[in-house]
Amino acid sequence: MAHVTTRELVLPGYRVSTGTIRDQWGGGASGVQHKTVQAKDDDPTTLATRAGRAALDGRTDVDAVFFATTTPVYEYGSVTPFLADSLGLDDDTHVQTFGESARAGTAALRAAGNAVDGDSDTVLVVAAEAPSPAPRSDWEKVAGAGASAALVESDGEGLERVAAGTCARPLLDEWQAPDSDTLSTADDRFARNIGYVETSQQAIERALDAADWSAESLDALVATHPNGKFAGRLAGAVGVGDDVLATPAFGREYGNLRAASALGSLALADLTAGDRLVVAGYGVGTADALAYEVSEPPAAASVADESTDLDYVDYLDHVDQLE
Amino acid sequence: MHTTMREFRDRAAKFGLDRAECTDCGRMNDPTAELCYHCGGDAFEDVTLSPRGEVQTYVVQHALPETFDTPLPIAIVETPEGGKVLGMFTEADEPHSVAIGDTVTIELKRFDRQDGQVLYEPKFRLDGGSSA
Repeated sequence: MAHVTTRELVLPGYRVSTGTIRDQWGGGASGVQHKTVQAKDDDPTTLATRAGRAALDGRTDVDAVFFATTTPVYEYGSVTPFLADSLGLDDDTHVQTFGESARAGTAALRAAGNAVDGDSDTVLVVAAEAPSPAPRSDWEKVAGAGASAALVESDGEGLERVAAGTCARPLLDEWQAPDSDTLSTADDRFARNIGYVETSQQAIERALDAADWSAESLDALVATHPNGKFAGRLAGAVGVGDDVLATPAFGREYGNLRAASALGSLALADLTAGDRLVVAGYGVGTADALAYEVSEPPAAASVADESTDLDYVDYLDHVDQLE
Repeated sequence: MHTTMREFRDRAAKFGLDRAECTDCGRMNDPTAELCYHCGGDAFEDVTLSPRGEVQTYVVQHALPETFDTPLPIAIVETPEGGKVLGMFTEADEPHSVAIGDTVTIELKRFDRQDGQVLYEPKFRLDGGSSA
């Protein structure tokens, strides 16, 4: 049975307030108060290396590395072997990359669970984002940087996977064409209700059914935080109280960490032995939900550099948008 | 040398902080060394350096290509294993606050781009908060 035995979150040491961005371009509040920003010499590979090293804590007995990002360094070309190498892993380590949507992190977590229920003993899951959103875009107002990691093992104490659920709908609520440098977003209300909330809710309820649990029996709901508001609405739709939603301020304080969001929230979640939790990831019409029982909570861990507030010009420099 | 092959050749030293410890004199060499730079010995043990160390010496570089922010401290850091790493500081907001004896964490960071490829190098972050 798959166990999550470590959990980590790395937040780079810079942030920008969305008020600073609104002062430049106008627009309404996004529910995000601040978003984390990568250092000028960071990218998903470097952030993932920090999170991976923290999760491994010197271990090298890893069969596979699953790396999730929606902000890849290359259009074509994988950095996952570089990540494995930087973590001191041998070149017989299986590597796989997940992308396409913010669901990539939980898709990798689910695949890691399947792998350790099959031919692997230990899989490192790492998710990282270092976005470079176009100035004045909606994505600029919420896109945050960071990395999260979890070690999934066939044995050991931690979070024991009980069941999983999925909802996959042909719903393109966010997209970016190959010839465009701008993310397009469907109407917010539509995306919120039919996309994030309803699709995630379906996946969560299917996971709960498969585990033979009720929503009332849940102790923690860990979710993707696209902004500062949606996760709370998802908790309401699922029928759990505000106290069950883990890290409710995650989106408001750090922004949308996409693939690293749900795993990052998991790293900070307040868990105790015996808890039942669901980890739900959503991206572009598709949601995965994984039900876990806590045998012993892995230490909640985060590496947050001392935070420096950026003005808008410095922020553009950090995200490689300064001409 | 073409970027791809150079980066592949140097990956162990840069990505993994790997070194070859001479079994004759005990000093560290590049992991691809066939003879010890220091004593000429030809027997080595593989060593992976810890990602932390102490600043042995440094300069604050004021003139660099425009892709680098200056002033930028560049240092030689010694790890607990006795290995030495030459590199830049990362996020050097206050470059003149670096001092010999400072302890640092060694992190993999983006260094430059060549031929459309992202190049990575170990860089230093001062312990106890923001670097430098």
